[in-house]
Amino acid sequence: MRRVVSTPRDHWQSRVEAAGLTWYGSYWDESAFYELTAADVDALESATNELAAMTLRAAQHAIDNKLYAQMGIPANAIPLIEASWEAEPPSLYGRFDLAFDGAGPPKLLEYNADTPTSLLEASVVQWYWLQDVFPSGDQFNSIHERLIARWQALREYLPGAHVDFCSIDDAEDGMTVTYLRDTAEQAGLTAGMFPVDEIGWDGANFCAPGGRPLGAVFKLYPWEWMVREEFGAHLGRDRTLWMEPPWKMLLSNKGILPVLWELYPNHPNLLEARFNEPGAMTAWVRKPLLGREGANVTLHGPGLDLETEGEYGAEGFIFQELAPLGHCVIGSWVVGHEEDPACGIGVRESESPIITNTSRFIPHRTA
Amino acid sequence: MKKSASVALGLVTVLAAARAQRVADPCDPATFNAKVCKAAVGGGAYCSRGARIATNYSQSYPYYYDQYRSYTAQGGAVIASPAELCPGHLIHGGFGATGLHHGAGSRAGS
Repeated sequence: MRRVVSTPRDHWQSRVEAAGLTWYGSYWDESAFYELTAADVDALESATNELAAMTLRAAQHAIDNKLYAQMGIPANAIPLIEASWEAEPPSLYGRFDLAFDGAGPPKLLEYNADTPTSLLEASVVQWYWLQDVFPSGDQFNSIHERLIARWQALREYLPGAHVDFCSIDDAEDGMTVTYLRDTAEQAGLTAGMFPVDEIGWDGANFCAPGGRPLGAVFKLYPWEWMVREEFGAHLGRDRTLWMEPPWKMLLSNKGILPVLWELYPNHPNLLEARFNEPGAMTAWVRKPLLGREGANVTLHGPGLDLETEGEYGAEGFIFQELAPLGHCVIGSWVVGHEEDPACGIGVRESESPIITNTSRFIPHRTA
Repeated sequence: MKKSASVALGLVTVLAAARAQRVADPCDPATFNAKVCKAAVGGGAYCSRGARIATNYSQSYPYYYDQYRSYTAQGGAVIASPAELCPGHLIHGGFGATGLHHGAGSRAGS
């Protein structure tokens, strides 16, 4: 895997905007690209598939051993998690964040299993870049096709073959659900879309703004927020089929990292992780259990002490071995969570060792 | 000595059932619920057992509150009527408050 300096396309701004990336600013950066060998892709794909299977076992372990309090999960979420784990409602996608430089094995930093974004740029925008810059080139990227196929496979589970999409009123989140809606419609489903704060409750059902009881809902809104908000008291009282399902709360929680380490100590794709304290680790990262976008992260190592600000951490922390990380992270996408769900990557770069929501997205191609 | 194999309860059963079915008036001292009573006096209705009950309270809310206080001061037991939402009445805004000033998606955080 190598970083190659490149000349941006003429009018690249209008190109990425036309593909839906309206918030490109300095976030989209095509002044370079990453070139991956077939061996790099194989390493990322097999690690992602293995991690997907391992995280399912970790979720089962967390449920069997009632690790909810340790993971900062409130009591009212437990029946939702357990019921959805038993019922196996559909799930759509997720993104593993991996430290990888092509030399050693990919290492799991965390799993965005509930509300991952940077989807459109990984699935569509960098593919259009490839078509423009390397028309006969290739990319580790079948995200778009896999999403459509996934919706087709889920059709029988979705009441009326219809899905409603919800997010907050935000450019990036709104465009992400618009894109997902597009893939659902291409799969032959019907779809609606409205802001998450327009979901209604009629005393018996969650409803669309006009009062129609909801069937299947894809919500780009974290479960840990939903269960703590006013309508959280109604969750589980009606028949709404939420996507991602509530059990994904276990996997998007940083507490899954020490659980994985306990189940698979010294696994080549894992970094040591522990609840609450660093143990014998001398170089570590402290992350809030429910932290988001790199907030409230502390890095500690020889000659290195960094901390980001934020509003998370009251729920508790985990400590994770500091990854031998350059300043880039691979976002490795899975669609579905069953056999071999890995289907593509996006690369993020930062000036700092902490990747945040402002870190640049760099396109890639395969050699 | 009374000997009987069974004692049939006719009227008692009917009365007990009727009491159980009785719509709980949120402004009645024995089933007082301050929040629901206040809303019912102001809105002219409350909901019980899934039905919307129109009301015609003749007094303002403090009157019913005083009735309730007098009742409890005399040792009256209270089973507060539950707060229910009327069918067809839709409330919004119960999700989304936390994300009001954030993006809710996770672009990064590693």
